[in-house]
Amino acid sequence: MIKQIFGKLPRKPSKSLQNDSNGEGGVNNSYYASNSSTTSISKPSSTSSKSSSASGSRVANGTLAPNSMSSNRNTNQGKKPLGGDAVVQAGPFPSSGGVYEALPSFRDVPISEKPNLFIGKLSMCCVVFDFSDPSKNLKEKEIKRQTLLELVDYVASVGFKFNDVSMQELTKMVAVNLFRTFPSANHESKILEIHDMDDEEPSLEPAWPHVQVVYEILLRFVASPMTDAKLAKRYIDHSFVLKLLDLFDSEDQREREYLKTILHRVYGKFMVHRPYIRKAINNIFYRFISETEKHNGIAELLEILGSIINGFALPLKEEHKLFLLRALIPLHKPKCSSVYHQQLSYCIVQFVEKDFKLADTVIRGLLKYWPVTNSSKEVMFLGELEEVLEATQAAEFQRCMVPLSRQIARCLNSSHFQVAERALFLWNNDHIRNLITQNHKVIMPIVFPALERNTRGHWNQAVQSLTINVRKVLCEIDQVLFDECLAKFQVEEVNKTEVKAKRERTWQRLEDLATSKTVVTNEAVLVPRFVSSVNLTTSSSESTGS
Amino acid sequence: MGANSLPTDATLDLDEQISQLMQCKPLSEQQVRALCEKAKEILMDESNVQPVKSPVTICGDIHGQFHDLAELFRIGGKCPDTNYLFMGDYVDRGYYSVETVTLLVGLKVRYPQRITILRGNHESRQITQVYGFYDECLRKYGNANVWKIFTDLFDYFPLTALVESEIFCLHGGLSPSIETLDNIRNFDRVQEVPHEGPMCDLLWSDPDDRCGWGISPRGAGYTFGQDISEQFNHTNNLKLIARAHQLVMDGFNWAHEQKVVTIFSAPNYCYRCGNMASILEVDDCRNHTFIQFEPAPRRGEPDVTRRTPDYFL
Repeated sequence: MIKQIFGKLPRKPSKSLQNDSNGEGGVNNSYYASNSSTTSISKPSSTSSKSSSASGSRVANGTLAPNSMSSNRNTNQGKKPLGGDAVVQAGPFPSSGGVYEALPSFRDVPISEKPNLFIGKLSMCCVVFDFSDPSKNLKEKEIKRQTLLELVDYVASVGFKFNDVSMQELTKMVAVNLFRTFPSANHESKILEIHDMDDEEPSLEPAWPHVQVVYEILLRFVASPMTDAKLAKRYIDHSFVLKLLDLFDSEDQREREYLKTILHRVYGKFMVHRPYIRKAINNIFYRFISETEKHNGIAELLEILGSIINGFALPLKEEHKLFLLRALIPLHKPKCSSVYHQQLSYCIVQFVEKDFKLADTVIRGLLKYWPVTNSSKEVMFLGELEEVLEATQAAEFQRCMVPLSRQIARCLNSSHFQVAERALFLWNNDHIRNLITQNHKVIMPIVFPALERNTRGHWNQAVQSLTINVRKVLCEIDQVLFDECLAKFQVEEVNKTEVKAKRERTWQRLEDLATSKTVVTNEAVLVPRFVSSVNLTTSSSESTGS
Repeated sequence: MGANSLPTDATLDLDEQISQLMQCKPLSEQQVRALCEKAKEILMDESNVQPVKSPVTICGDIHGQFHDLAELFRIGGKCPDTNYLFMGDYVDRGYYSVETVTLLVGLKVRYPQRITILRGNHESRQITQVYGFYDECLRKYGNANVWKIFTDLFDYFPLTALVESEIFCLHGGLSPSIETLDNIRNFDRVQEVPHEGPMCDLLWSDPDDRCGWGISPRGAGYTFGQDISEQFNHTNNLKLIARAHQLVMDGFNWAHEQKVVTIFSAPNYCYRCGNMASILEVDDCRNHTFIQFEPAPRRGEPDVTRRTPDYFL
């Protein structure tokens, strides 16, 4: 297929040379321009800052002219460097005078020419096409796609180390194609957020046919043994990494999947960037937790972190513990946490498994953010709690068991059958049951009333029968204490009815008194304070049906 | 005691509450409790097959889309000027289940002879905990009391209605365990919707193109074919089975050669399906007219924004 296309394409390097003379930066020229300028590369640092500044400058109104990549070219053209933007806005592509034609196949040039052809093809792929109109530039889009595919093959199979120029041009091409800002749904009106928060269909990247292949090129490049991290770190630098992280907010799940794999590779390969990447991810989390509560890539970032945490050396560094405390635990708070809860839960459990002393902190964190009006989230919390408890030792358990038992008791008693069920399932876990048994003197008095209330009248049959089982387990642990709890419960129930009856009697007395007074005196204005309490009485006695 | 000694005051109260609800403002927990007490007394006297006279306007699922219910009343006429028969599923999915179901129950208590509210499969404890009404109550009242009050009341909702002895109305569909309307009249409906059996089937079944009984993909109820509908209508001297329960793009959909009609009254269901809604007017002469309508302009929105802190933080 590719061969057929190329077979039909004219190969006229001489024409390209002529194009170069018109100075408009036609695609074909860049090949030769780069060719002639291989020795005079601009400084890497400035390059990367350029590529980053180019991000987000994708212009929607049409095709962009191929940019002139190297700075000397800008001066050749006698133009202002335009802030070094990788995408030079030289007007719509067709009018720029360049013709978008495929370059020769790698197979058709001598080995010595391949690196230059590589640069040429990279330059060609810096033209960003407008995908908002699917019928526009169909031919050119296909040429670019084929060229990108050739680049994938080249990067994957290259037999020698990438040199500075090729790395510079490759990262530049990646930057031009990938680094863009997303339409900010984040700051739409509150109403929209309420109504469409969960329902919004994720929008798909229209330029995916190109974007995907560019990701593939970046992935192969980062993964390639021919990419020397010591050299490449100049191009895959902090700014590049930051831009890559920004892209995690993409609504397109396919894109986030690529980003996840690539960032993971970058983290693995560029040791020098590791602290920076962790810090940058931290910042994304902070912003998400305390400012926006809107980010599409939290799950993917957490997935990478799960693997990073897995590799932490022991004893854990203070930095990592702070990350757990300040980012991971507060990540339980946002409304939409169910989207990434699985990945979050994995990270948390990794921490506790690494250092069981953290269990107490984590459990208290969960209790702090325990959901009040979101039942499905509550079920997830109970699931995570079980996993954390599984890795919890006796000492840490004892430190938090009182507030923990109170929360579990509330869950046991929930009218929501899934919440109650999930809490009751904790007793199916051997390790947790052992922890409870060892500390039953403290725990049983806390959870007993909840169980008793369930057996007496939970609407759900399954909850009832599960409760009866758990009640039996407690009874077998310590019959004496169990009976004490039961007796205490019954006393409290009686007390409760008495208090309620007493309160009703008081109201009744008050009401009678008020009625008799109004009847006797027949002067409503006399006791205004009393009148208001009469109203209160009437309404409350009506509603309780007394 | 208050209700008996001061009937006019109670009516005034209720009218006030209804007009408050019409503005999509929920009642207090105490008011809901009192309202549902009265509703229970009315509903427990209704039959499992509640007789209804024409003219009446028959409506399908609402699912907490309060503003579309308000639109329905604008189009079909206000209650009590128009008689209504609702076939269930007032709660879940939409954002205003509390206001929707409170309004309908309020109207039932105020005009018991003018409005009939049947039970849908969502008027159940278990389903409301999974599909939103439970959490909405937690958000709006801070506890599950109102959820409990309403779900306890749902147990009393009649399961089916019979318009002028010829249109059989219910939420879901037929049951292999039910041959006659008397079968339905005979069982005790005051309970949580069971997972199987005739009561479950009435609220869960769907008509199907295939003949006979089939296994429902919903995991409850059955699918029933044209032969079943014809036999049932013949046995019970019915002209039509009107039911809801399924999203239909035009708001209504004929099946089984006009023996069964599906009516769906939640336009743009779940705020995304893009469907029309409809209601069925049956006039004094028993003529049928479908009225279709689209989503209401979102006039409640300023309210929503103002209340946001209470509900969503």
